[in-house]
Amino acid sequence: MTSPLLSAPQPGLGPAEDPGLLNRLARGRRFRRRMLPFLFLLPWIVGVLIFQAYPILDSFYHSFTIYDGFQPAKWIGFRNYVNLADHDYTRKALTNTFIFVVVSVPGGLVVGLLQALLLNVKVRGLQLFRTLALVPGTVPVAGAASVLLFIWSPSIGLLNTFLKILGFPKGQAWLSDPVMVKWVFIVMAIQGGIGMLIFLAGLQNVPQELYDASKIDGAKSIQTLFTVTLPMLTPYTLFNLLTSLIGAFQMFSSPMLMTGGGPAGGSTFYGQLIYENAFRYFKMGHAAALSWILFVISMVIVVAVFRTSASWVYYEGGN
Amino acid sequence: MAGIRTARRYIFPEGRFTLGMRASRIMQHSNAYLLIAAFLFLALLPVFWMFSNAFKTLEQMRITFPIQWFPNPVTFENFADGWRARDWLLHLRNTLMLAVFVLIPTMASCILAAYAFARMRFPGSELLMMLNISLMLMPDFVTMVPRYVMMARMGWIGTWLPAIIPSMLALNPAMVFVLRQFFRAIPNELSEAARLDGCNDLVILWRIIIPLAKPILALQVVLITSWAWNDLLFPLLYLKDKSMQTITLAMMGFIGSRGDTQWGPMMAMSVLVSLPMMGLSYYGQRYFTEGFTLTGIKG
Repeated sequence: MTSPLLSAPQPGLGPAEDPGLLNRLARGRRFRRRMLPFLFLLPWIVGVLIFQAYPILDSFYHSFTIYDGFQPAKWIGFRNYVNLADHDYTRKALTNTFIFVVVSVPGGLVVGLLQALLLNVKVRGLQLFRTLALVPGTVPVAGAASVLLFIWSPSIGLLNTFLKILGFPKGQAWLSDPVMVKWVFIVMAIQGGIGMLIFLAGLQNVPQELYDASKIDGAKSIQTLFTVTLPMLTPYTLFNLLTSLIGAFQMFSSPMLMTGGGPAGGSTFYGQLIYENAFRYFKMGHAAALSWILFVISMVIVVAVFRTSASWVYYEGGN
Repeated sequence: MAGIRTARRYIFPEGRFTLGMRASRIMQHSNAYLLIAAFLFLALLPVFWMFSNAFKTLEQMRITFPIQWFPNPVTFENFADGWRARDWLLHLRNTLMLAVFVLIPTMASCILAAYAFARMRFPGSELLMMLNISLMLMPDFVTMVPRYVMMARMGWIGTWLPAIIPSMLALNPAMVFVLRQFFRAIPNELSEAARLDGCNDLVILWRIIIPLAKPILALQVVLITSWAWNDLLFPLLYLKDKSMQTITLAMMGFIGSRGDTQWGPMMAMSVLVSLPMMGLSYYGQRYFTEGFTLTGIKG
């Protein structure tokens, strides 16, 4: 690093004749060297302060108030938290989200793993199959939403046609049935996750020697799965588990596009609940309380998963 | 039960790979082919159905039995009707503008931050990185309301500033983290050699780090473009104005405006809306595996 100060012509004494000046210059250079990382980080630091720290504190404060975003807030203590499940609508959204997370997260992990294992069988045309398997994931949510609406449609949908062929002529109302509709979203979430892609990447990193050794030991395929493949995949399982958990709590777009949360709140999930409280009913205090509960729940789960992960995640080459 | 047993046997690759004639190998894997075919059929059915129905007449779509797999006769009416229903070029322009307005400032600010975290030593770097990771895990909904109120008070609603300003301030902890992991994996010798030649950090970043990190940067381009194409929450809050709506928001109105559902135009527009993203994601997918292996999910 050549400093412009050093190369600039010095009036009077040059640096060589004045050790004091040299020291001062070196100190200045050291100081700038030390400040440089913070200069690089400046946008990040300002962003964290303005768009993360301040909003977090602000939403924490307003979760204890009645607040519409514009009038001054009115302090009401813990009432937003206590009255949480007062409304039928809220209660429904909470139950829906709970069921969605509990079923779709493990379901998605298992299905994603099975899909990845299937696409890892060394058969001819494997590359083509893998490419084809990735196609559905590339359809953007708006396109997927409308074709799925069509497929699940009670009158002309493909699904009821299949049911008819299988001997159930009555079919189902699917998305227009307030009880059934959340299960439709659960099935879609289980089937369409990106977990498969990550598991597939993980499978490529399992050393062949382990399979060979296992075979020499006389292990059956199923034993190899449980003693070699699954343990070697645990880092990817951890990653998938965390991302799908966080994603499941925040699921928003597809029900918004397909059903708008209906019928009768049957497909209203947590994200939409927060959104509607804040921007339809302007109960921003209530929305803040809801988002803080989501925050705490997510953090508790993340910490719990990390704490237990040491006992079930295997890192090759140590932790 | 036999089905499950076969499934189990053929899902696992090891030990099933014997040398032999091509034909015998195909025979040997016939069950695997069957399973893969079933899986691909289920996975691809919606995509196929979207394309097929985009070219069907309404009468043909109404027939549910027997299943009309292919459009006969092929019609392009749906595309014409769907195209006329909205100003799609405007929505496309808005989507691309959103992508560019977020992408360029995010890239610039996140690359700087990630470089500092990855390649510079300074007090508190570990602590700040921990902070970044916890921000990654925080639900967006927590900051949604205060941010909206803040932007409304500054009079930014109805402008592109809510997309641009936070992006300039590296408001993408996931990207900072991923880039930092990637930058860290680049050998130190390269940057040390450059430093001895008198290059400063900006030059090292521009001449060495960024060229070597091209795959992960390309992945970020794909991710942010597809975010702009897919996201609903941001446009719902900040781009409500008709002249600023993105494609997803326009599709939401298009899907929602059905009294008597216009299935044909809906399928046709879904195809049109999907094609560019399918192309881009396909291009981006080769970076995914690389991204995952190099950003070190494995500890």
